Amino acid sequence: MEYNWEIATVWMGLALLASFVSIRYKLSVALVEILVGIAAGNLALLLDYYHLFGLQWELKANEWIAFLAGFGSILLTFMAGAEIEPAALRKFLKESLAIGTASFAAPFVGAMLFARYVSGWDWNAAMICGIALSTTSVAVVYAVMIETGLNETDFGKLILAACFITDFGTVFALGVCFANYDWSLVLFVLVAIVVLWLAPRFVRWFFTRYATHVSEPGVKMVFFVLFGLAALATISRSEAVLPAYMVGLALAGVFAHQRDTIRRLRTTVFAFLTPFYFLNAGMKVFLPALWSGLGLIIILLLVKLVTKFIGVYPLTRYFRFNNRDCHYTTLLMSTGLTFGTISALFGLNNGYIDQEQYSILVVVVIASAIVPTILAQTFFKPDVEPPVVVAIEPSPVVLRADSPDGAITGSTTSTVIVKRPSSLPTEQ
Amino acid sequence: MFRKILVAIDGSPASEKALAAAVDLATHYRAELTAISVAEVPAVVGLVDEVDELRQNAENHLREIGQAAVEYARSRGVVLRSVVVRGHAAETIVHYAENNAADLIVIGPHGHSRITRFFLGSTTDRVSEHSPCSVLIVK
Repeated sequence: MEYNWEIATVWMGLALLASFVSIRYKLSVALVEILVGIAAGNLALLLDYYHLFGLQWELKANEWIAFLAGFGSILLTFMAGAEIEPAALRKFLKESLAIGTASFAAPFVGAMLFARYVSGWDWNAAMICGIALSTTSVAVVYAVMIETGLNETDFGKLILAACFITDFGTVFALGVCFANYDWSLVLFVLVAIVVLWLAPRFVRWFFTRYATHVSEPGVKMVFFVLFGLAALATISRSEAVLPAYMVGLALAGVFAHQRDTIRRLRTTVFAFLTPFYFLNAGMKVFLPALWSGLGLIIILLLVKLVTKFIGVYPLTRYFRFNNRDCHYTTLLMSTGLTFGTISALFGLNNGYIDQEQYSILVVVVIASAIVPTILAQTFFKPDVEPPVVVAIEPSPVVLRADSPDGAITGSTTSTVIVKRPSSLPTEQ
Repeated sequence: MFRKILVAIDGSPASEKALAAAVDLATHYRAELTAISVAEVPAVVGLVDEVDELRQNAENHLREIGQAAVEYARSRGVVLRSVVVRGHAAETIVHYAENNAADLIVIGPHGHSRITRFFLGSTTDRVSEHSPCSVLIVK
């Protein structure tokens, strides 16, 4: 038991370090946790190799850390699904469905065939490669759009809705490509259908009845549903993130009115679970493999960019986006991070890919979060006025006659203004 | 000579000096004075909630800085309007100056950390390079 506390101390120390670095340098905590995991894991390997101080240096995730990391990935996926705006998806169903599906399918097929026939990976590894590179990072797209205020426009909402469709494709592929097609899968599908059908009404009623209770029965109920579906998914050798994402999608409308619950859930997830997930994902990256696989990393990144272009760009033209927005949308749909690492880690944990392939895939995924974003922001950023989010208008300066020293008095009033730029762009 | 002055503030000591100089200039020229703070959110993030949290924190922090600037200017008898704008710092300051016909931008020599400046360059350098009007760098 003492050993468990030592391990927990080291891991939480690393999570704390990642938090400090992310706050100090205004970087994403998820990205920093992966990088800290890579650094710590490889440093431990190096120290262990030289038996420094005669000690055994090991930072591998034991059983309970692996469980917490897995739980973190399930909740990450659930929360990602719950963030969708159902109204936006309904409004732009045709466009988002077409762009989102193509954004998933083209890189999935392209990267899978490349990995199989050019890199010589076996079929399972090639499928993991295709899935990991098919993702689009909703968070990266959202962050970029927040900056320009595009998230408030029809154009932005369409792109975000398409991102959710792409991610659904990713988790669906993870769920079905490696499943056992037997009675356990039938049971899992049947239970999932019933739960997804009942969940929105039941959860809405449940939250109305119990949401404000201090023991958080609402959060426990969400965990109960996710654990149950994850158990069934695991029995059928499917992936637990598939039901988690679908439950998130199904409950998005309910959680839109439960911001307090989401905030409390987020605190648990960010403080305790996702650090274990992202650190664990980083620690499994073997740095020497990156040097030998550098060429493949660059090529796979290009494969992702090119196949995303092939899938997304023609559709943006078809839907009459202007030329600049076509390139912008295509590049944003080429980003990836969280779901890419989840896919790669699933492959490694289940023995479909080895550590070298995993290391290469994770680095390609991280690069795909950075490179397309820089290209989009530098060369194709829509020409919209940056949104003024706060304007503090001073009240007139008044010299008070009754003030002993004729001091200037008055008060300021602040007004929050959020400008909403142009709507869906059209051919120009 | 200067009728519309825009001062960039971010709460750093350098930007406080810039604010003091801008208030003096506004008094001297009887110019309209606006303080701009830019809420930057990193583009590479893992979670949508993380974006919202970073954005909210940055905007709240800059709102307080803007209110302090308004109070400071008022204590010097100057009316100052303060705005918080989302975007990349240099690009947004230049854009705002253009759209609001500012004829002088007052800015400190640096606000970022040394490491950020090393990798991304100085906001001040980029503002002075692309600005549509005169730029006063207060050291």
